[in-house]
Amino acid sequence: MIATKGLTKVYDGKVAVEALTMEVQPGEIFGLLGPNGAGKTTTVRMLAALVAPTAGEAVIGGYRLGEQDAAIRRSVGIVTEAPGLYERLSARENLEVYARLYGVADVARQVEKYLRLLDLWDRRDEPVGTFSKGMKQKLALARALVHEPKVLLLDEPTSGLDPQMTRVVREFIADLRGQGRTILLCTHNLDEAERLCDRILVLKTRPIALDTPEALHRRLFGRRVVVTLAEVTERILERVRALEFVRDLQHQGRHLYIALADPERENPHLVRALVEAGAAIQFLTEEEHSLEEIYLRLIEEEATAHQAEAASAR
Amino acid sequence: MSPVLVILKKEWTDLRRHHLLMLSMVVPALVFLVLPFVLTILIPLLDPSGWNDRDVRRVIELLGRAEPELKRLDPLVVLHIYIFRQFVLMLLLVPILGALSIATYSIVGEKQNRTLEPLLATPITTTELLLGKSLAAALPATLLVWLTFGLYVLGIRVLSPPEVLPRVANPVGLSLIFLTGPLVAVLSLGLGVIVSSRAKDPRTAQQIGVVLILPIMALFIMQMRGFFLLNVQWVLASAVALLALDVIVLKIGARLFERETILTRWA
Repeated sequence: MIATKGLTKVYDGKVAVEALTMEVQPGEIFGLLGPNGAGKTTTVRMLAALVAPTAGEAVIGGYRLGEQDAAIRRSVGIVTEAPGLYERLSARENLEVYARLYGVADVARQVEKYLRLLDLWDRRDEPVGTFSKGMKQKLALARALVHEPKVLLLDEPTSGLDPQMTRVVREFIADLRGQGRTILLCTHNLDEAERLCDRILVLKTRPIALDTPEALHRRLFGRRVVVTLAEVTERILERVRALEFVRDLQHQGRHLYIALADPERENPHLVRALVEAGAAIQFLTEEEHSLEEIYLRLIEEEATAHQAEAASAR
Repeated sequence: MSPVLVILKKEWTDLRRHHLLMLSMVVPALVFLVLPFVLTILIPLLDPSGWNDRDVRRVIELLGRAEPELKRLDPLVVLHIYIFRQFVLMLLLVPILGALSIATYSIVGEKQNRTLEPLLATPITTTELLLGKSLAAALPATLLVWLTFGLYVLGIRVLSPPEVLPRVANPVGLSLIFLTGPLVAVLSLGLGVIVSSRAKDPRTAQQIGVVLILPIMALFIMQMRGFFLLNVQWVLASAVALLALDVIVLKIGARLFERETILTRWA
């Protein structure tokens, strides 16, 4: 639904996005993560045909960027970081303006549909200036959907919202996936990305990593099981070290951290060996890393690689 | 509905609810409407010799030379004609201030509220957007000066001697209001668009209005001091110059009004 190849944007000699190649599948929620100034907003703006790429190509919703920009704008819905609503106009009037600009056939029906869906119908005729930040964000979502776009570009949709409203917006976004819409989600909120995204792209001007959170986890941290025993003895440690499939063993207090290649296949052998060595197993789980840890590790690795590159250039 | 009409409707709905902006347009119109009547009533009352002032005498003399038939009229009637003609010129400030206020508020306001990005993400073309915003500024400003002039004419008819009206609502007065008025409104909004691309708040952008107000004030003062008298040839020549300026300014405005420029350079 979204495909880019070598997409690059340079502003006045400064590279904002470089060689971005990615594919977002229909019905997928695709997370775009990165530090401030990483090029996330520029990427969204290019995909919305708001700014022209300096190099590279992209196809959005079947339309080629740079050649069919008007068609791209018609098939894309965008939620910008700031809701950007007309404060003196009512919620209904705001949506009507956009529905008409998008050429919606039955404006009144579409406006009502989304105002009801986002629980804003009762306040439809009040000026948006009187709305809370959460209500404005919901209205911005309704505005992005009023023309039933196939592709949604969401730039920090829960930024600045309280936890309750954040949850409402997140659940709404999750529901949109069920409707088959393709969503590109830019966020700083890693918890949000972890909950919502099927795949993530970490961007720091250049793409650093692109995969599912699970695959990135495996690539960066490998797979480890954590075994909690009633007591750790030297005999138990020796027995585990002797197992040929154990890649690494560390222990801390009553916890053993055992790196395995294929825990599903190797765990039963590990448990048997532990029991044979006289271990009393209390818990056995696979070690998990949050997306935050994955993200920070990726950014750290990129910074190290960048420094090494700069040093070798000198 | 065409995108231009959608923008026009949106702008006017917003304008109607922006009471301060409405007031900033209506107050100058009211001042320029009422002030000449106050002057024609007060000058003879408070200072019977006031209209015998050297400058006034000079203008009356100049008027008489340009239009000999005025010499036959009562000097007080000529004074009325002189004052009301002067303020027709001042009425040109109404479309200037009105168009500038609406254009700058409309564009800088969108920048401040960050409403431009979602708007530009729709299929509207930048020409349609600029046209919608320009019409939204120029039409009310022009209609306001026409309405003010209508009331002005009505007031003269009711409150002044009958010889005054045909000599104020004459070809010069009518061409100033119905030809120069719309042209200065367009020039004002064009400059408003250009300045708004850089300004961070509407008041800063509106300072450009001085550029347009000064020539009008200069004409007002020069005519008041009797240096020259506006005639139809002058008005038509200035209309041609204004038209050329309008085209230049609108072209510059249109060049600035590109999606990428708006989003990346209009800081």
